[in-house]
Amino acid sequence: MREGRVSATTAGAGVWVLAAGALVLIGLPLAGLLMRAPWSTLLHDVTAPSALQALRLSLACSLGALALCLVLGVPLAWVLARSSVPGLGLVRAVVLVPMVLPPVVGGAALLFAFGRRGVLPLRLPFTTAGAVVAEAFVALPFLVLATEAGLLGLDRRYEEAARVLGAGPWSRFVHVTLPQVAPAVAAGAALSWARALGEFGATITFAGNLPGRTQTLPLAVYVALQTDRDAALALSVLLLAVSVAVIAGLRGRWTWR
Amino acid sequence: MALTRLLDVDVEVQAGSLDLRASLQADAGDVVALVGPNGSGKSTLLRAVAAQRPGEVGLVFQDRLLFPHLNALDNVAFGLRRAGLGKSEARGQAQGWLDDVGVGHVAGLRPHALSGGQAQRVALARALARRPAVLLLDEPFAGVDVSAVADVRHAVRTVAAAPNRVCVLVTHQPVDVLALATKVVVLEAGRVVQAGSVADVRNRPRSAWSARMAGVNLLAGQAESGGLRVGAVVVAAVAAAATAGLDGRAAFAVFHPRAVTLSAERPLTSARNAWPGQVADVDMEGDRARVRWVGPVELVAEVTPGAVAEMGLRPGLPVWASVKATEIDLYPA
Repeated sequence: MREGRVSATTAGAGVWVLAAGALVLIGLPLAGLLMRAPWSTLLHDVTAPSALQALRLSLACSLGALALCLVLGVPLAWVLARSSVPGLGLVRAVVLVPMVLPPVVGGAALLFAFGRRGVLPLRLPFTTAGAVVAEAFVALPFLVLATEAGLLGLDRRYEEAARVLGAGPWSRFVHVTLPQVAPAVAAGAALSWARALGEFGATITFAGNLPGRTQTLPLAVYVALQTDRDAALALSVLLLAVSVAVIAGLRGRWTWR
Repeated sequence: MALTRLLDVDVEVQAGSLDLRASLQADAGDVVALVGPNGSGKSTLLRAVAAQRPGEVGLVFQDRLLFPHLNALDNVAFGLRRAGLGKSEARGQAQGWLDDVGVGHVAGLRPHALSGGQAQRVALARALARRPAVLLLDEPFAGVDVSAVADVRHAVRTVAAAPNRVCVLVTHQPVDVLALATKVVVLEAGRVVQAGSVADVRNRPRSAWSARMAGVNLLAGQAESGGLRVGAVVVAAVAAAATAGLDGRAAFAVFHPRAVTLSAERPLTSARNAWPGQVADVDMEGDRARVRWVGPVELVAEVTPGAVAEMGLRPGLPVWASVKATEIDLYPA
């Protein structure tokens, strides 16, 4: 670690220039957003009824998606980390797909699966529940990966100790494994919640863009960009603030090591 | 009074290079020292016994394994909660167990905040909380700083010898065996090579470990008229007369390091056992010196520090070692 840093400081100026370029690529748009934000009317814009409606819907959908991810994702992570059934590598690859798949394709896939003429017709498209499912689809891998890594890092002898003390399988999971893996689950939950909150492509494809039902904040930003740029900027700043809050919440895990 | 057999298990475990096949028996009140070299399967045996009877056996793991997310009190209460006790009842009893082993004041601390000695006693309290008939302790003094060993030993002594319990203690310190145990089981490469009372094992050691505990030299070989064949030499023993029927069978010769005489030249005495060899190592222990010697056999000689200086004993020095036949005890393996 230390050696790496030393060689970085002694590396040629070119490395510094490229690194600065990366920072500009990420930092400049963020700075531009903050500079162009209509600060005087910001409060008014983000508390407009339509904005509040989108915010409420976004929070409800993203938290719903997070709950779905937790309920389904933690057991899946446990299976991936602990079981030895054949084909586990394939399962892990499938779980990762939503991370790299273009969200629009994910939305289309959801439509073919759960649409009116889908494999499993559930009347989900163009409903709030559909938005939740779309967000969970893209957010699930983050939670599963973080939780699985956490489980793999645990010392399993604690579970043996619990077994000797008379704890059954469920009791061991709830009272020993879960508390110890909680920091990893929390980190995965924060990432997957942020991903759900920012979800756009899968949601608009699968659930549509119906104000009050499926028009979440990112969709509202997109619509506002066509009509009311100041409102779009205000909503963008709001989403940026939420993102920064997530990073602050994860502080010490991936940043400021 | 009839003894109550509380522990009677057969264990078979194949794990890596370890092929463990051993059985353990103990009666109420017994404190069994499970001893043997590293990798002989002592810890595996304890864990296998615990796994056979979850909830009924108390086990203190070698590195304790206190749950890091629970404080000392809740660690001890864990087994009680699993046994169906309510939270306050379990915590009340747990506090009592912590008090019993002298660490009641650390109840609110998480394991990372405990010293080695405190953590060991918390682990002991946790293992005791469900009043197991069988208590298994895996090297209870390992990882405990020297200053705290006395406290932990006191705690172990207090709980180990209970009239309605069996305690099995893994250790490699002879002093632990002598101070705490009533019985000894010696494990080597996954097999029990000797089991018996501490006195039996001291008087008739049958393994390198038992010999070390007894502080004697042990040679393994084949009985032959008048002695024991060990490799190229025959160790003559007077006691061989008593075991005349042993010829050809595996046997042990045992003698005290004080019975060994070292000399620069071939001894002119009547000792029939005199071999050339060299000093491997010299250990000064207060008013005596222990000299490890290698020749046709390997042995330890105990001499005075004066003799070390006079003969200039140092590793590599060629010297003769002799042992009187009358000093050697011979018995079947």
